Amino acid sequence: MQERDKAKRIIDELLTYFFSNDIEEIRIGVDFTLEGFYISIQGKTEQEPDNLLHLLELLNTPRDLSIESYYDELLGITHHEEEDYHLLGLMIDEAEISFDAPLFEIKVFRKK
Amino acid sequence: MAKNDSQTLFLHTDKKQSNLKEKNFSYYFLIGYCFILIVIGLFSEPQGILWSGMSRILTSPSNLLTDYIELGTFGSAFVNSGLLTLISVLLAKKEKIPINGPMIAALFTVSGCSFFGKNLYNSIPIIIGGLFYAKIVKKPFSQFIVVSLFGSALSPIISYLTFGISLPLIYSIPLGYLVGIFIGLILPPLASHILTFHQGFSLYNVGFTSGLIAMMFTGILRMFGWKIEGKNLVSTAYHIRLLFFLIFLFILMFLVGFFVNHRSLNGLKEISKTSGKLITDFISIAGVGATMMNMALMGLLLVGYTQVSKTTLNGPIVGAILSAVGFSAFGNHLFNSLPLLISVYLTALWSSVFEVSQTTVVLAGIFGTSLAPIAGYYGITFGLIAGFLHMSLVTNVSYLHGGLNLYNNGFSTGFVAAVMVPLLDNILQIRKVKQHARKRQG
Repeated sequence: MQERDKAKRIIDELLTYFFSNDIEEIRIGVDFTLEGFYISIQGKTEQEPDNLLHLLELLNTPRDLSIESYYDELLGITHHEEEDYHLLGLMIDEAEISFDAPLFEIKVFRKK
Repeated sequence: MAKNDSQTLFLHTDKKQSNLKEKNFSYYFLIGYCFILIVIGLFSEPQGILWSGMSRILTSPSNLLTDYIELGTFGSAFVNSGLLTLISVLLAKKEKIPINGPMIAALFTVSGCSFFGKNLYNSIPIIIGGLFYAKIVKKPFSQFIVVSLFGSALSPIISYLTFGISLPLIYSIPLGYLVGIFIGLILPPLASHILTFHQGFSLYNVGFTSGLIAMMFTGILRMFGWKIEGKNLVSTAYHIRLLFFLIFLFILMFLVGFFVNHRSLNGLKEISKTSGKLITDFISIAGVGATMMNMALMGLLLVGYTQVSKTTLNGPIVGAILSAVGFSAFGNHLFNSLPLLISVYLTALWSSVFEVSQTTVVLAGIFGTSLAPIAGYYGITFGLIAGFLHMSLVTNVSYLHGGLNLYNNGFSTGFVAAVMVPLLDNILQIRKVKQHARKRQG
């Protein structure tokens, strides 16, 4: 899977997270650089999503090249469960989650 | 890492790579396992008998069900499994791959299937094909090694072409190897894409992919007049020895896991809460120790299942148990696997065609745990239905590939998951919408 397709899948997964937490007015930014790509997704919500620390834990999964190229097809399909955020974690190098009511934002970076 | 007050919150990932000591420990555990197999093999019979058994294994067409214990000898089957697993472990170590759930599943599948179809001769070309694919797409082979190891499910095709179609060896060896390399080349992209077919609800994804390839290959050969038929060569004389081996292995595995886990059962609860859907890596969730204990418990459950079924242990059943134990680092645990075992057992009991003690039925039960994510995610009732459907399908799909796909059960579970998952999602979605509407009316 090419990097652009991976970016699309990652956005799909993050967007689903936003939808499932009733976050509105969503804006998405994608930036491809020589080192890799950055995705930022921002929305508005009055309440902090209650599973944030668990999401961070899943995104903290170490990057693992040995399995990502095989299982990356599972990202961004019908099911969006814990396992998929774990897969997302092993495909990215860094993530930032910020909440400053009502602004909620997730930024991710994936090295080439 | 995190800053939090009443208004704002900022979190940042802090990815920690596994330390070298932990990584090496996992490799030592796997290498130790290989040595146990080799030592059992070497000391179980005189060397002359062992090597003649090895020669029969290497030169057999190896399609399902060829029990290497019956075809070769007890010792040669263990040495074959130990050597092939050891080579796979050393290959992974050379490629500096971290030992994770998928890798343990792949290595134990290699080990298990080396009791009934994989050998040193027929597994190598698929790995070479994987290497070529990595060169073509200009990526490191380490990214494809898991698929290549699982892909040796199709190794009987290489053996069949070399030793099963009566061609002189001077032609049949290059033919077998060329076809094997081609299979190794096409497997990585295919296996990855086919995950979307069952959406990660069948753990043996390469089994399904291999079934499709073997089905086409068998169709082509049959079209030109070759007959490819399954076999039923299974041993009956080693039940007690195999039973002791399995119980010894799983008790040892549990004890090692318990000590690695600082003499605690911590982590097993976290494992049991997961659905098992791909990808659920227990090493990442609960650590090496808890994963080993889970593998051991699953192993003991499966041994118990064979005893309840009153079957005679043989190479394929031992191989199936080892494979499912491997997947107990990557999706299977007691709670999501038990409904499948119960369902297959009851279906066979209920059917007028099957007997619960038949090797194929026991294999269907053990390998049927590939559908554990259905029980884990949708609940026990649907897990029972999945087991029923799997038992009804598994013996029918074997004709399609003539036994040239070692993961016949994985082929069947792929179909079952692909049919059940969209339907269940639909039903549950409708139920959810109705509940929501009822709440609003209330």
